[in-house]
Amino acid sequence: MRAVLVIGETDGDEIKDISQQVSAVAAGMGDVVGLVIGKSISDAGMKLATAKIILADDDKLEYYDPIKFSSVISQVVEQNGITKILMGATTMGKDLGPRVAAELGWGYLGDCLEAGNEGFVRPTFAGKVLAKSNPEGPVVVSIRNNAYPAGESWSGSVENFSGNIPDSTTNTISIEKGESGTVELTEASIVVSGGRGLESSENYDEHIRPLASTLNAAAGASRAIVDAGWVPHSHQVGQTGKTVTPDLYLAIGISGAIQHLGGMSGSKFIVAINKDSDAPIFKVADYGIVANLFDIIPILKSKLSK
Amino acid sequence: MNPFHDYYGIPWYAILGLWSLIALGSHIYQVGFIVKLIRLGKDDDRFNSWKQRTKEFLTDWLGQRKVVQDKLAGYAHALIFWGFLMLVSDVIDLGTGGLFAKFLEKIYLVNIWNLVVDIGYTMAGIGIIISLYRRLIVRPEKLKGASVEGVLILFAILGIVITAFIVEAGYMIGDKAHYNNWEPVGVLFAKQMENINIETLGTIVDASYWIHMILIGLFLIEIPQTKHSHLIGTIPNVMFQDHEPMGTMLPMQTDDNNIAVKTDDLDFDNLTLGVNKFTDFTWRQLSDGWACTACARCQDVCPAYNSGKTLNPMQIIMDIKNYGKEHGTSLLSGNEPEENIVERFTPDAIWACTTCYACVEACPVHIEHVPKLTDTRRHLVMEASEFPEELQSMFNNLERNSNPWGLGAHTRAHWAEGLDIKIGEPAEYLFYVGCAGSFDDRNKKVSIATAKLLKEAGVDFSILGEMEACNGDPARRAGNEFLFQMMAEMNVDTMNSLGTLKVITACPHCFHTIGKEYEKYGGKYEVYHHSQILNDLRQKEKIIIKDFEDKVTFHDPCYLGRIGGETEAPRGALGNDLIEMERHGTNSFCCGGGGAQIWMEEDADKRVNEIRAREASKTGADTVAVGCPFCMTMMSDGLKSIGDGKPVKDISEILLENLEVKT
Amino acid sequence: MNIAVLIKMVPDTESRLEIVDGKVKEDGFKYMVNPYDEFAVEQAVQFKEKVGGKVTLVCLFSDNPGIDTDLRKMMAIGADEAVVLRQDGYSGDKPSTNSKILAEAVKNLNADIVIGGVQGIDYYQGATGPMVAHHLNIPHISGVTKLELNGEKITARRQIEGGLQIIESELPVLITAQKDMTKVRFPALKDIMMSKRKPFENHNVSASGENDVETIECSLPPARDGGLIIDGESPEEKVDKLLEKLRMEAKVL
Repeated sequence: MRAVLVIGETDGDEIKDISQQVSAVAAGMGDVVGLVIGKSISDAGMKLATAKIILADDDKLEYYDPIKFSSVISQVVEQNGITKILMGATTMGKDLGPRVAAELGWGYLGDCLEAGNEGFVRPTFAGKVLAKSNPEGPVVVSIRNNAYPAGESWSGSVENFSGNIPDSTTNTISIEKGESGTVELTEASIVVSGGRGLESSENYDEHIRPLASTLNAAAGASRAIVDAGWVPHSHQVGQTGKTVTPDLYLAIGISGAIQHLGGMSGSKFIVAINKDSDAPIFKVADYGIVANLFDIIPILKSKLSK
Repeated sequence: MNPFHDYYGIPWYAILGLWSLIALGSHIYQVGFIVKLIRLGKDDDRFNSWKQRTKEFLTDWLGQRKVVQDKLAGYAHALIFWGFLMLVSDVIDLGTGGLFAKFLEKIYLVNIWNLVVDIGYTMAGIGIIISLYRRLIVRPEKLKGASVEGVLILFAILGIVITAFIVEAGYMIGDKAHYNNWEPVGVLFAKQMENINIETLGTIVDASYWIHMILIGLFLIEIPQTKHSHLIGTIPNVMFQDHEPMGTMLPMQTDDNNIAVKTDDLDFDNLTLGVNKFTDFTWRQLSDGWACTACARCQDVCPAYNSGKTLNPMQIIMDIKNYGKEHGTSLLSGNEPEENIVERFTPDAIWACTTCYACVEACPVHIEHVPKLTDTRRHLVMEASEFPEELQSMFNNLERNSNPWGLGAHTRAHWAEGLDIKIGEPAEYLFYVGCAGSFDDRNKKVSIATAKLLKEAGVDFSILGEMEACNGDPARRAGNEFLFQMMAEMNVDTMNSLGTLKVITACPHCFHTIGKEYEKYGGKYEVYHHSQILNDLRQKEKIIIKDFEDKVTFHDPCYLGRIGGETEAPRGALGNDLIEMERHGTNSFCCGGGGAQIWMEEDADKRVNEIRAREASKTGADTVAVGCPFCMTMMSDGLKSIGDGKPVKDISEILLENLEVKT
Repeated sequence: MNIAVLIKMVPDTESRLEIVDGKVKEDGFKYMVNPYDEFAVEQAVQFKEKVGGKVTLVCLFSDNPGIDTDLRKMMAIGADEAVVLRQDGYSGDKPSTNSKILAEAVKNLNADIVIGGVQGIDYYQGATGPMVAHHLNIPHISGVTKLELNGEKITARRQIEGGLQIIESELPVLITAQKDMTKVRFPALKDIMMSKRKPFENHNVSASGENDVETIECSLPPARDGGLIIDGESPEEKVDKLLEKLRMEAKVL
């Protein structure tokens, strides 16, 4: 039996969108079993878009622990004849996937952009090369967010996990939520950065910060405006500031002097908005809009808020 | 009358003898102490080129060549100095109760000697009065806050002059009763004094004599301690001035042929990297401390000091002297003081230097400020690992990708695409493009303009393309000599394997490093700045440039003008019809980008480049012309910051814009 | 305290990437220490400086000799010894194989803490660390932004969506470091030269276990013509087009 196991994750009362995306992919690959592990996750877990759902709901499983979770999965794999495991490439997925693969002695493919019966595609060398595989044997796979549309949840059979949960020498003491609204620049996957084109510090606060907030992004700045005192040095991106490698870098009103480029040229995608078509930033941007940023940003923000 | 009699039964020579013993004894002891301190410094063999050194000693020390660059203070000083040389033998006569004059009489020299002495005292007196006028009435900006010590010393010397004339006059009036025309000023004094009561006159002459001798004695005691140590210190300083080309830094270790020892062969166990302790300096670097006259000319021209940084070049030199005084006893007994010289300078000051060499150029007594800072940087980078964070990524980038921005080395020649330029082939000239010209968008335009002009003139040149690596200048000026050496050895290998003989570059830092410093790594080439080649081509009409209407002002790059010795070629290339900034040519004021500054954060209120931008703005020119990628960036940024939208263009860009294309 | 640091040599990101016959051409690559691993080295050395002990670097690579200078730099930070495992046919994209080899070598070191970077900048799988932990039969914590040593326990702050998971663990444990876990010191150049004297062993190893998935083909992503200026009649139209590109082509939104 070719059974595919989907590891779902919950976020409060809801099942994560990425888990629904993975479920949709799995549906085309065989009989799907969903598994959600945690404490008090049953209500949310039942929304997973898989035909069968196994809920491992236990106090011992309150916080993510690779040894415990891996053990639960191994037991489910054995009992259900699983030959493929899919999960979202979340912080948990990227940590749990390899451990499970090692425990089962299976292959591992992380952070896939494409997944399905034709095989899997992963980005490598910072996205500059795409690697394609089509494994015959059993494999553990994690799939990137938004690579696929989400599946719809529907009612299927629900089972409670009754296996053994091992002890662990690690234990989680607490979870610290990040400060609302401020994402750390060097860790952010999206950075919204402003430069001299904004003309005043009030404009920075009015246009850049809200846009960053909408995108759950970090707010950055060019050296020129840090020097001018509009934003603190911690926001500076560039040779003498921070080096960032987000998935998306929005350079707004920034000309793109070489010192700035040194700090963000490693970004996966660069978008530039500047009224000067000769600005050097357009040479490195993947997408550019030559226009007055004061016309563009409000529209951008309102469309993203929807 | 004369003062050479008994005083309360004690012979005058006994009193003088005692005083001389005290004064001379103190003087010799102090000088000896200073000499021993200086000799703690490392070796620096400057005992060569005696003919040239003698000539320099005569023009610079005796002739006061650099001193008179400041007209008012300079000529006043020259008068005092020459006057002093002429009058100094008078103390022998005064000290021997007139026996010296009698001896000179026997060899027929006494008359000319008397005249020389009189003129000497007069010159010194005039010089003092001019100096007092400058100090008390003119009160130039840089003297504000000066201590009263300066004024006291001037009055003291004036006192020595006046008392000498009084004694001289007394001689004429009393004993000889005839006026000696070989002592004309003495005669003037005598005429004023002749009607004074004989007894009073005697007292006046006696008092003057002793005031004169006491003042001299006090000077002897004071000279080694104050800025007057320059009376002694300038002699070795000027005599043993630097004969290496200006601005060249030396390798960590050289062999007998003065070639740098290869990295792999360096003996790290026995190598001190840079300067951390006082005794790590060479003797010549230390003697600077006692040659300094506290004239503050270096301070006046220093871009760091003038933009509010903690660096003050004069203070650095004073630090050496003060540190020596304070810790001298410890140092001489072989003990290491707890405070080292790097702490005394302070790292902030050390890192603020742009290595523009304006201080060294301005100094009348050949003090070498910059090497003290670059040497301490070497220690901070290579031994202590304490340096501004921003430099760390620059060093890593140089090592990995052979350019300070860490951009893909394989994209270095992309600027040349479509221009039909030879890459990696032998040619008459190697156009060494440099990192800014290869990777920085703004400066790529300069490379393109330069290449187009060279092609237009039919110059045979090629570029290294991907084989080119940074010449290593940012690493060297920042103190990472280790990294610099690696890059130099690599580049020399590449260039030699292509048979390179002549090099053209659009960057003065490449011009300097490759032209003057690569020799010690086996690379001897004729290196030209592109302005030199363009000027030559223009004069020879290989490129025809139309007259253009724009008024242009040229900002001399430090490493081309002052350090490189080339101020004419850029002007010739631009057509010589320029508006000059007040500080131009070898007096050019640094843009602030050198000395690895362009890689570091600058957080003082006044930015160096804004100061220079204001100067450029004031000229009213339409365009600012530059000849260096750092100046290009700094001047553009500076002008933008002060709200002046003037374009900044490289010489090559201006020429290309106005090129008359041959049909 | 014995600490084993896992080091991966990765191609420099600015290296020229060429694909020949569906395979990435590797001969032109310059290799460097994976930047995430540098945090691990620094953290290990800091712990050693605090409580004493030994830091051993363990690196698995091909027989390419060009990595010595970079490993010396890691030694110069303060490691005591380097164990370099040379494998004919090494590939950075085989976490299953590589983790087994590394675990074998680490077993002999009696490590209280095994630490490495969270992921390699070549393949971004983040797999080797957790797999080594499994083979060593010890727990692991990945993506750690701050690590504290308290006697016989460690406290780790692990980066998760929207915040941090604070975890306490007994030893032994395996940790993988996230960016900026600590500030990596710049070793004095003198120390780098002196590190030539520290023990540096090369061992030949061979592959075992073929659980890794083969890559059948490498390709370049559809050409991003660096600088697509978005056209539009109105600002609104331009924004719409931009959002579409970001969602559908770039897939970053």
